[in-house]
Formats: sequence, C-alpha cells, structure tokens
Amino acid sequence: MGRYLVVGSGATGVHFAQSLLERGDAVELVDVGYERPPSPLPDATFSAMKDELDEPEPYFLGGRGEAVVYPSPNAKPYGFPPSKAYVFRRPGGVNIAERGFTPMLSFARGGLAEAWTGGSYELRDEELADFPFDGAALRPYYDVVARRIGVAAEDDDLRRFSPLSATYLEPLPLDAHSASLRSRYAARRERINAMGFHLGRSRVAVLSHDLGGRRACGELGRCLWGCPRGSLYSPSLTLADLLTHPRFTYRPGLLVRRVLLDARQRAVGVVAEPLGGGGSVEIRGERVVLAAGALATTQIYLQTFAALGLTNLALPGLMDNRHVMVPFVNMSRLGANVELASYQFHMLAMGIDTGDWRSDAHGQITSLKAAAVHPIVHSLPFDLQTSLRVFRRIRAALGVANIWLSDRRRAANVARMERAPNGNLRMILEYGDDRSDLAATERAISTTRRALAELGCAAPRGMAKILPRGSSVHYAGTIPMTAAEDEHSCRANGAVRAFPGLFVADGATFPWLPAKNLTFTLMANAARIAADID
Amino acid sequence: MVDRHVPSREFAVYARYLGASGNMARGGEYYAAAHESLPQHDADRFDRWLVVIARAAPVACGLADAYARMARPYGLLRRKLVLTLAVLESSPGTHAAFDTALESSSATAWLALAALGTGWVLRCAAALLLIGPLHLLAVIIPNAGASG
Repeated sequence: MGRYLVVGSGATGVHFAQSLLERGDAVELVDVGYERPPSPLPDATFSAMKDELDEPEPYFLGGRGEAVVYPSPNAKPYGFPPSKAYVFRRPGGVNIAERGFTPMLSFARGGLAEAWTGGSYELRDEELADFPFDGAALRPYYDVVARRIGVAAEDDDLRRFSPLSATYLEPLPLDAHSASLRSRYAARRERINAMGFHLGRSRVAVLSHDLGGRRACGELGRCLWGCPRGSLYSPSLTLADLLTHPRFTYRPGLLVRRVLLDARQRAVGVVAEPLGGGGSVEIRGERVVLAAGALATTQIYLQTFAALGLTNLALPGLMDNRHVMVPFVNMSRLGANVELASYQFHMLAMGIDTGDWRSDAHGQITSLKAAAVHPIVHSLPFDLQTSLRVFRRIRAALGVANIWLSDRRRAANVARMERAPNGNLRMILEYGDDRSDLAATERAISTTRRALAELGCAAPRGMAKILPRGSSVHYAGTIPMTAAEDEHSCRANGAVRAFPGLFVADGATFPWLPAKNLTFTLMANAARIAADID
Repeated sequence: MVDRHVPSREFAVYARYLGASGNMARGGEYYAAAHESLPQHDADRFDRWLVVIARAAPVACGLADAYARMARPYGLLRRKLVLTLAVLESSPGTHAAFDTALESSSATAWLALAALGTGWVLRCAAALLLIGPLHLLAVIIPNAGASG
C-alpha cells in the first residue's frame, strides 16, 4: 500500500484519488478548496426562484450587481452567476501575468470543472497519435469514469468523431428547439453532410436516472447557477464521496507553492502556504502527484525550479482550443413558447470533417431556454426597449453554436517565470502565436453558418464571435507526455523526468489538443495513470 | 455621500421606458445599491448629457437610448439601462414581463418584428434630429458645462 500526496481536487485530482483508493492505497489531498455555497430551494425551477426567494436580486445579480453583464466589445451573451463566484476566486499570492491569453483559474473544491457544461467525448484512436500510448490503453478508463459520473449519450452521426466505447446512460428528452433542428437535419442530412457538417446528440455528464445519492435531471433550468440535485456532474460530488473513505485525508486551505525535493532532487512532498497566514508548511508523501489543473500545475513546476535557482525557465507549448460562438435564429421557431423549466445546456453537438483529422472542428449547440436575459438583449442592434420586444418575439428561436478548433504545441506560446517590478517572481502566460489558425477558424465559421442555413436558421456573420484565447478553458501542453526522453516532459504514466517521485495527472501532460471538450478525457487519463503508477 | 433618491428616481423612469409597471420601490432600492458600483470612470460630458435627457421621461429615455445605441453603445446610459433590465428580470412581480417569450403565430411574430423595425428607424431619425446637434455641441465647444 502506497501513500500518495495529490495536489488539487479538480476533475483529474478526484478521479486519480478515487482510483488509488479503489486499489487499496492511501491518499492525502492538498487543496485551496474554496467551497460551493449551498443551493437554496432545491426543488424550485429557475422562474420559481425569482418568486420564492426572499431576496432574488442578490442571488441572481450579486449583492451590488457584480454579476450584471454590461455592454462592452468583448461581452459574452452570458455571465457566471454569483453562485459560481467560488469557482473563480483566487487566493492572494497567486502571481500570474497574462499576455495574449485570458485564462480562467480555479482554486475551488472541484476546480474549473465546477463550471463544466458536461460535454463528454471520447478521443478517436488517431487523436492519440502524439501520446505515448494508444486508444486501447485509454478506452477502459472512459468506461471507469462514465460509470462513476454518469454520461448520457446516443449512437448517431457523431460516432465518426467520437467513439462510444464506454457505458452510457440514455439521453434526456430533447427540448422542442433542439428537436426541430434534429428533425430538419434528418430531412437534409445528405446535403449537410456534403459540407462536412454532422449533427448528433450532445454527450453530457448529466443523469437521466438516479445514480448513488444523485438524482436524475429534474428540468429545473438551473444548470448554470449550480444543479441543486447533483444531476449535472461536478468533481466536488466525487470529493464529497472521497471524504467518507477511511484512507482518504483532505487538507484544504493550503496553496501549494512548490515540490519538496531531497538532496538527490527526488520529490518527497510539497511546500504549501496556509491561506489563513503563518509560515510555509512541508507535507510529505511517498509519491507526489500534481493534479491542480494545467496552469496551476505548471506554476508549481516552474516555482520548483526557481527554488533551485533556475528563475528564467520557459516551457513552450501552452495550448488552448480556439473558441468561437455563432449565434443563430431558427426561423421555424419564431413566436413559439420557450421551455424555461428544462435542462439548460446543450443538447446537440456537431462535428466538421475537414478531411484531415487534426483540423476537424467540434461544437455544441445550445438552444436558449432559462437564461439571464440582459446580456443577450443589450447585444441586439436596437435601443433597449426595441431589443427587449424583439427578443421576446424571437426568444424561442435563439441558439448558439459553440465551436472549438484543435491546438498544437507552438514555440511562441509559453509559460515562464519572470521577476515582477516589485522583485517577486511571477508566472507569465504568453500566447504569442494567436493567428496561425485564423484561416481554419474562418472556414469552420463558414461551414457552420451554411449548415445552419440548411437547418432553416439565420446566423449573421457579424454576430459570430472569435473569443479571446483562454476562453475555452481547455489548457494543456506545458509538461507533455512523450516517448522520447525530452527535457521538461513526462512519461506515459505521468512520471516527470526532471524529478523522480513526481507525477503529473492533468492537462499539462497533453502533447496535442484535439477539438473536443477535454474534461472527460482528463478524468479517464487520470484514472489510467493511477492504475499504472507503482 | 451618495443621494440614493436620484438613482431610485431614474430607475423608475428607465423601468417605465422598458415596459415595467406597478411599484418600483423594491427594484429601485437594489438599483441604488448596485448603482454605486456601476463603472462610470470613462463617462464624458456627452455621456452625462444623455443620462440627463433619459431621466426626464420615458419618451426622452427612448430617444437618448436610440442615440446611445448608435453613438455610445458601451456608454454610461446603456450601462444604467442594462442594470435596470437586469433588476427587472430578477425581481418578483416584474420578471415575467421580461424573461418569458411572447407566444404568437409565426405570421404575427413576423408582423410584430416588422413594426418594431419600423419604429426603431423612426426613433433613430428623431434621435439624430434632436440629440445629434447636442452631440456636435459637446464635441466642438470646449468646457460647455453640464453634468448629471
């Protein structure tokens, strides 16, 4: 029985820990661990909340309007609600500067995946070409994770983009808007497929029937605000289960700064700072596993070298999927009613076959149901009164296609250390090459708009938005898994070559970033590494 | 010390412009508190003039908003109006008039959209005629005073 020290309670940390516990090891998990606030009125729908809460305005908008999405050139058509503020809260002393890159970091229990919309897509075998293992090595762990978290899926046209090897739940019933799109797709499938565009059901980590203590989706329309039934998966649900395990120790309130090394530069623990103040503490373990999320793990890795005197280390290959939003109006839905009480996130997904699997695009299509209205209304091209009236007429027809493009490791995209003007070391995240995939991005937008037109939807070019790099929240590539003995890399089992005894289990290890939601694969890979670690 | 009566009063005007009716006291109270955190640092003289016009009455608010949508889409007046809308869509008693769809036949929806588009064009024309000169004045006359 080994004693493992895991850093981070996000998607990879909790599944790594669970796999170790299941095989008989002991796990101590160190975390900042900001907690999710309790969900009020657990059986109320989104609309009923506004009538039944004593003070709905602070719940929906924050105490002083912090969650209001004001007009700005980069405003998204949604904002994170106050109930998700814990996900993005940063402790003091996290010293990061960003250039050409606007990442999100999380120090919450459950990490960034606490704001996950649940998209769960297995990688194809060819998409693992740059990894030092093949599809057969990863496939069983998709099943392990799918059984743990519950993923609803359907076998359809998207199988060509993502296999269905795991055990899946039956999907939720489609909302009326998504059903109309799918029905039109079925009628025009050949023409649309000829464009390279394929449509199918989203594969989503949401329960269509009860699982353990979690209840099936109750169609409350509160997914973005935090599912009060545990139907939509988030890693804090797994963490809550782990806390009941006798061989699991959870140590929240600690910000890990660096890996603790012995005289032979072997990892023997971590050095962390208590959030409540006081001096640094050393926490020891037989194996140290970084699963803090790609960016936080990278910072710990860089700070470990800085403590050895190497303060100018740069790690090339930072990756993040290009993210595009294409809003559309489904003409057949003008004047229709909208289902405010329903599963809120995407129910359809899309793939664009470019003829080169490395360039294929992937996306998810969300029909507008329960939502904060004001961010959408103020983006319409009229005065606010007219925009509101137009919005209410077309609301049931509105949707958005979120498209992602693959990313590869490039020399200009780096994470490195730099001394700030105040003399302190900080991590610089620099995305120097943000243009080389613009042509492919434009092609993906064009294909999506043409396919949407075939589906009876208008998708004005001017409304399509290429989001700033960092917004896909799929970060990877700084300490890649490689077969070759490269510097600043790790082996297939996550073992970091620079420091024996140190392992990385999160997205920092991905040597290539496919155009897919990453979280399901991150969890499966963490379970794979846990099974392989000695 | 911020006088909360001013934001509460302007909230009532903006809310009526956006189509709310009834007692605005609850929303006005929240608006006043949130208004203190409203980003205002980049508002210039013309932004403040637009707010003064909009505060006068719902009809004037419509003209100022139409002009702001064209000339100051991210300006102070638009922020205040968006805050008002956010409050109205979140409050009991008013949310149903803001966060639901207007159900109709497709033909009725098309007709309504055409009417709304026509109204928008007319409102823009009126705003250009009435507020355009003020904008010009704000640009060409240095220190032409007024603040809201």
